[in-house]
Order: sequence, then C-alpha cells, then structure tokens
Amino acid sequence: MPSTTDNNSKPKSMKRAKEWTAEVENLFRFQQAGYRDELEYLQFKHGVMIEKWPETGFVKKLQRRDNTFYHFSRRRECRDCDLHKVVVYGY
Amino acid sequence: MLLVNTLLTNHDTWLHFQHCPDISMVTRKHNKASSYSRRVCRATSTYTHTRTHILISQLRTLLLIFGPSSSFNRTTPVYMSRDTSELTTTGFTVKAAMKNYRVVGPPPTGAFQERPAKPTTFRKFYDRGDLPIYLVHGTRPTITWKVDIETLDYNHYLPLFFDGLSETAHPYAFLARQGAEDLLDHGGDKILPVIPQLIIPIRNALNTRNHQVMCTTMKVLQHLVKSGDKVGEALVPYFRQILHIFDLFKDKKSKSSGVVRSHLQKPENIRELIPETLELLERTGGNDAFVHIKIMVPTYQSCVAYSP
Repeated sequence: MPSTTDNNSKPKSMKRAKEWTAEVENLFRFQQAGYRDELEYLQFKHGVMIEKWPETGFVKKLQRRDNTFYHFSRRRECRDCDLHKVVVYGY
Repeated sequence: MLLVNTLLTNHDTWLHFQHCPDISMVTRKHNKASSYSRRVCRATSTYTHTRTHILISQLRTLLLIFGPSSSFNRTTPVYMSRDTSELTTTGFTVKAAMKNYRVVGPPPTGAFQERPAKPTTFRKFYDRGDLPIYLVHGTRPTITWKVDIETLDYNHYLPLFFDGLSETAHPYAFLARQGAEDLLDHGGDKILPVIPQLIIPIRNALNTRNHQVMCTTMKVLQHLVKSGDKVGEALVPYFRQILHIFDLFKDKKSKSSGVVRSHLQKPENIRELIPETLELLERTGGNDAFVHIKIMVPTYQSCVAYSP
C-alpha cells in the first residue's frame, strides 16, 4: 500500500483477489462500506483513526458516506464465495 | 300423546313403533330365543310438534328399517348394528376391563410441537422506526447502524434484539440476529449488567420449539457467553429457566434436525448444537456450572477434567 502522504493518489491498476488474507479481509470490509480501500477512507474522513480489533487486526467500525455505521466482527467475514468480488488496487 | 303402533312382520320379527312426544322408542321382538329390546332415544319432538314433523320422523324411522342399508336377512337387529370399535376408553379404568371396550393410549402431550411465538416488541419497534438499524440489500444482506453502537443504551436495546430472536419472518429474524451479534461484539463491559433482562427473551425463543429459532438462539447464547469474562458465571443461576428445552431436544430424532439455509452453509443440526452449547456453558460457568447443568439435563456428561 502506498503512503498516505499523497492525497491525490489514484490507483493505476486493479486485480481481483484469488485467496484470502488479512489484507483481503480488510479490503472486503472497506468495499462493503463503499470505499476503495483504506486510503480513500482516510481521504474522505480526513485522517480519522480507523478502529481495528486488537486480536486480529481486522477493521472494527467504518462510517459510510451517508454517516451511517458498519460494524464488523472480529472473525472473518469475507467468505470464499465473496473473494472474487474483492478488488485489490495497485498504485 | 300420540301413539302410533305399527306392526311389521318380516321373518317373524315384529317391530313396534311408539311415538311419544319426547322419545321414540323402537323395540323389536326377535323370534329367536334371546329376545332383547333397546331403546333409541332421540331428542326430537315436544308436545308442540306439528303433524308434519311427526310424519317426517316416522318416515326416517321407516327408512332406517327398510332403507338400502337394511338387511332383512340379518339376524341381528338393524338398529343394533353397533360398531364396537367405536367404544374406546383410557387405561386403568373399570371400562377397560369390559369386553366391548377398546383401550387407547394417552393423548399426545405436544411437547415437541411447535408453538407460535407471541408478537414481539422488536417487530413493533422496527415497524415504528425506533430501532437505529436498517437493512441493506447487496451481494448479501447486511445491516447498517444509524448511530455508533458504542453510544447506545444497552439496557434498552440488547433485550429488544434478543426479544426478536423469536421471529421467523423476514426481515425481522435476520435483523434481530445480526443486530444482537453486533451488539455483543461491541458491548464489552456493558453486557454483564443486562444479563438478567435477557433471560426471558431467550426462554421465550427456546419455548417456541421451532428448529430454526432454537438453533439461532443457541448460537447467540454461545456468542453471549464468549462476549465477556464473567458472563458465563452470571448465567449459572438462570440455567433452570433456559436448559429444560435442551433436555427435551437432546436426544430427539428429527428429519428436520439438519436445517440448511444455503448450499454454502453448514447445516444447523440441533443435536450437535445442544452439547456444544452445554460444554461452553460448563467451561465458562465456573465450579458450580456442572451441578446446575446436571440438574436440568441429567444425561449430560462433564467435559471439564476436575483436578482434586
């Protein structure tokens, strides 16, 4: 993932996830909430701290663009059937 | 009093009809050695009965004797074709010893029969828009919270979502389950003080005897126990209210015990969920948990090795 100092960075490439990892799980959660990835979320929220589960490192809570909340559990939520829907962006 | 006597002979049998205002007595004197007469009482006419009604009742009686179902060659009385299989009685009674009575078993108790759940307050609150959630339809249905969960009053909302576990209709069942799990995930220390208020909704959900509802409730119960350190011990005094259903369904064989919600999900087998839940309750319930479980589920075997 590129550093967050570049606020105008846009992805140059994209590919679909083939196997599950912790990064894919977090990407799934961001995309569920309507964002590309963590970078876009930070751009939208202007540097707010992202809450994560201490045990697993997965995202705990995200705020959508309509100011509603998505709460995620500490367990894996991205099923194998949802893997192909997760987009991994390259910068 | 109107008295009509009709004598009919048929194969040396006499039929006497006597029509009284209140009863109609049909007697038949059989030609055989054993003669008997029975009285067939019909609550029909009264003193105010009209001639037309009397004629109709007489015609009915004649039809009974000479109708298509009658048989003149029968030696047994026509009106006496009494089906003895209709005479039933329960066991351990005086009638059970009699020849003509058939002893039937006790009626079913309905212990495993599904009971419809009462209308829940969860449904009422959701329909009114008082709950801070709504359903999002996407690749898979998810729920979105209008406010941050950590700012919610758990004393009010957690029992409400547990109350919705009794629901079977969509979207209430999904919202209640997902909402309860989200609240338990993010509750932390707020869950422990609310435990006493959760017992009645859990008991009501288990008492519905609906397989899907029971499986959902047991999974939420497992989640509740894992949500905090002291939660398991706090549940021990309430085992007598929620575990009697576990004893009922522990060994019940059922065709629908494997409920499959989708081809990607493991079937929810109630016969596997019950021991799983009991073991979790014992592990997290402390030293007294096993005794309390054993009282309600006598066939339960401990999964914890106690060291002397």
